[in-house]
Amino acid sequence: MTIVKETTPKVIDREKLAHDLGAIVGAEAVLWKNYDLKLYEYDGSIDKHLPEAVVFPRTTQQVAELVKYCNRERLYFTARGAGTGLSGGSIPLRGGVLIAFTRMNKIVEIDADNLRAVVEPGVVNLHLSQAVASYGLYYVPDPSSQKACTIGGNVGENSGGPHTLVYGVTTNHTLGLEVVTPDGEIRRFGGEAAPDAPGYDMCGLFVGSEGTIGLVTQITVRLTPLPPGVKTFLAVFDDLVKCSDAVSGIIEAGVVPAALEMMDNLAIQAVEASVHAGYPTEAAAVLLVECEGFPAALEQQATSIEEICTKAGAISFKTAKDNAERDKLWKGRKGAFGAVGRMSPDYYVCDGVVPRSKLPEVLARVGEVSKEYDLPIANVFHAGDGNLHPLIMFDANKPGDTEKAVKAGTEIIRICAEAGGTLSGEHGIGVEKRDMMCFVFNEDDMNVMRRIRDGFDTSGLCNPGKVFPTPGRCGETRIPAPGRAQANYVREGMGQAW
Amino acid sequence: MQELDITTLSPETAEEASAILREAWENNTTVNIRGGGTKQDLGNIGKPTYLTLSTLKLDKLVAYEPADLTITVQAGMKWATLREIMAEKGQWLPLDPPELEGATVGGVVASNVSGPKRLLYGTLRDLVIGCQFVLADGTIGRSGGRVVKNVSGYDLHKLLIGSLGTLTLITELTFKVLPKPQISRWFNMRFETVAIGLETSRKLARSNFSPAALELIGIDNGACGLRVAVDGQEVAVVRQMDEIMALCRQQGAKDISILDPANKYPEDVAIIVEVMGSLGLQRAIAYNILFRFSSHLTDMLFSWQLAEKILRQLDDVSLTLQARAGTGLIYLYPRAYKDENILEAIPLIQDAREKLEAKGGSLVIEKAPLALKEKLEVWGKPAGLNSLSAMQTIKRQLDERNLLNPGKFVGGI
Repeated sequence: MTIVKETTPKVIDREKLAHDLGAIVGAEAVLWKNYDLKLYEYDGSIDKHLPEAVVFPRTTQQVAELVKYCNRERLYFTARGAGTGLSGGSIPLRGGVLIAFTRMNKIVEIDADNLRAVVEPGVVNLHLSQAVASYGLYYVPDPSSQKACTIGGNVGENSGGPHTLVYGVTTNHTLGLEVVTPDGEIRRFGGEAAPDAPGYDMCGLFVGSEGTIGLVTQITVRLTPLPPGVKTFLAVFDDLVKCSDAVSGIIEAGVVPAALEMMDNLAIQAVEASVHAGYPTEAAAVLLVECEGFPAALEQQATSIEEICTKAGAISFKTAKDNAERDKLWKGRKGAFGAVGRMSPDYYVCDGVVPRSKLPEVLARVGEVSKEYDLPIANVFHAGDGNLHPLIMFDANKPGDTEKAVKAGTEIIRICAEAGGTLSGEHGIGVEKRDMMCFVFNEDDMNVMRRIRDGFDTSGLCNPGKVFPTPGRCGETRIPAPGRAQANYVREGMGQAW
Repeated sequence: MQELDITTLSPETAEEASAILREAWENNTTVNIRGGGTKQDLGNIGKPTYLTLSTLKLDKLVAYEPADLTITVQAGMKWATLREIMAEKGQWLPLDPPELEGATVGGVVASNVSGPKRLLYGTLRDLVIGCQFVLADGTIGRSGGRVVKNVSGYDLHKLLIGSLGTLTLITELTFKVLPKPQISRWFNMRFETVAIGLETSRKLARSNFSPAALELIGIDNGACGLRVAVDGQEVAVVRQMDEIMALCRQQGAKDISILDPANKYPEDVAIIVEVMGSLGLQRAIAYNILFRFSSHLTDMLFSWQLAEKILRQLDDVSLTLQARAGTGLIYLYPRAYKDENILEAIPLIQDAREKLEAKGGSLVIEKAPLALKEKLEVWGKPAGLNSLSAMQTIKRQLDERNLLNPGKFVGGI
């Protein structure tokens, strides 16, 4: 098998390319002029690259034909959902054709009796939960950008969200997939609802493969009954370590809440300056806890969670009395990224994971990184599963600030890895972290993964430059090309971020 | 199945296992990977192997941090040992596979077994978060990690779950664990027809009463028993049981009774849990056939009827049918059949398989006498479209010389 990794496509005649692509998807579904392409050169990360053309297929068949065309013409191809990704997964790093799934946005089937739905990849995450709410069901994974991001993108990145602590992330809710593999074949994997389908768990491999071994064209997802009751609490602490102790205490006590979210002082101040969620601005940390279940059981959980928090040293503990109060508490958490955006001209969202018991130690080290690089860092994170989101504030207009922020981010990820954690909990590796893979995997580990990739992407054209490190570059800090169009974009997309 | 093995080697470390596999690879020697040996009869007969690699000495605890709710063990550790280690800390791995004497953690993962409570807690794909493995050529690799949320690199461990050792040797596994539920309760009831029992189960699965298990068992005259489990905090469990019982009464349930909490399972649930894969158990010894029917929840009655037809053909009067009713699985474990009827039932089994596959389901033969396996592929068609060639790609990329447990898996892999 010949792997043509470094195929450089010949000089591309864009007009001819647009004509050829138009023959497959229709001329109105192709963008090829520089002015239009500019809108598709970035996502929610800090990288960018211009595609040669953007196409908007409407059917799986069209996707398959596009991929076959790219193979014939030796053109790179990259899938894109809503472009909310934070690791550059949908950036066409070597140009080529960007296949945007925004027009494949139909909910194909809601099969409430079998607790499943079939959707096209361009369906917006939140729209699915809204569409099935009248059946008393919902789709569990609720990533930060669920008002904008697509389920196809969620599958690519194996997205999470605050409510995945008990229920699991995208992969745990994906029953079947239709994909177009890099050879242009249409394939379907999984039992689509019938369990224990004979064969390897191909869905398990494809979810989270970041569009590097195929393009997802249809997804069968699991739907879950809405809980009978919800209770939301806010515990306030004058010390970060005490707050982390409360998190460990809650988990150890056998109470696994639906969400367990923590914010530090800087994040609290940002939130109070913008959305006024009612968090005390002098607090060192707040812990937002949400439990689901029968009302009687929730009362008991409330009592035990309050006891644990008080024992850990909480200075106050508040239960949301009604939906309005609950929404207010969540508004602070959901609006945190946006609020930080108001505080600082730019910010860089990190996504690292550590074992829960290492949280206090790692948070202290994040504080040191902030001092060392002289950049404020706000901490907002899914404490229940040890998933940190330090927000590094910087000003891209200040020379050297972007580089400093990226270096500080890399340092934080290295700290997470050294604490026994990992590079990313839900945002993916993409281009952002490909050169950090060696923090957690050695060459052999990565070569086994490369074997899988090479088995499917035999011509090296499918979403090039992602996930795997550039040879010889592993461990080096990658400074992306400067550019800040995406900074505003992040704020807009994440205005209601969880 | 094969008795041609001339050597059994039991490495104690991944590095030793790597050296063994590397040598086998250089000599083109086919290898049978073996844990406790409780699932050796799962899968197709397979090609002869000339070396057995036993994981039994890879049995150490690698890391356990109760506060992190994760545990890492070597693959040859006994499943029972793993349970004991966690029980000491009031935790468990929420999976209730048949407790077979000698079953290993790696074997449980490689054969993807599960139990009644998969309805609430999911299966191994929801619990395995990291893995170390050795490829046929001796390469040691890893995927995932020791944290509960992780999207770094491909989830190769997902491919290994249920792969029957055809892709790699698994040397180490990391799991997500949970605090043990405060209490667990089982209760029994009876329905006049299987149709009503299945319909009620479907309603329960769609409700937010969160049953942990729904086991439906065929009894005389077309009636059925439904066995329900509820796990959680006492105050919640009481409420869940009330709600579930109210719904069941509305559906016509009779003879509702709560089981003595001292029993792990109701008697009849226990039998199927033991039957699944067991070899040495006294009570289960009579069962040497186990079929698994899989369908959508709404096709379960259809699936049940197909299974009944096979029982009738076998002249079996034992009604040994059990549905994992909230999940779409039905187990058929005939015992009172006449041997000569088995081969005559093949066309009926094939017909049932085709009908299930047409509806997106499957019929897998988990256990069968050799005579049946020789005539009937055990897995049926892999689900989906063009999926076999993708699976063959995986096999080729990881075990190009086809040396690990060859021929046992789907499509002759």
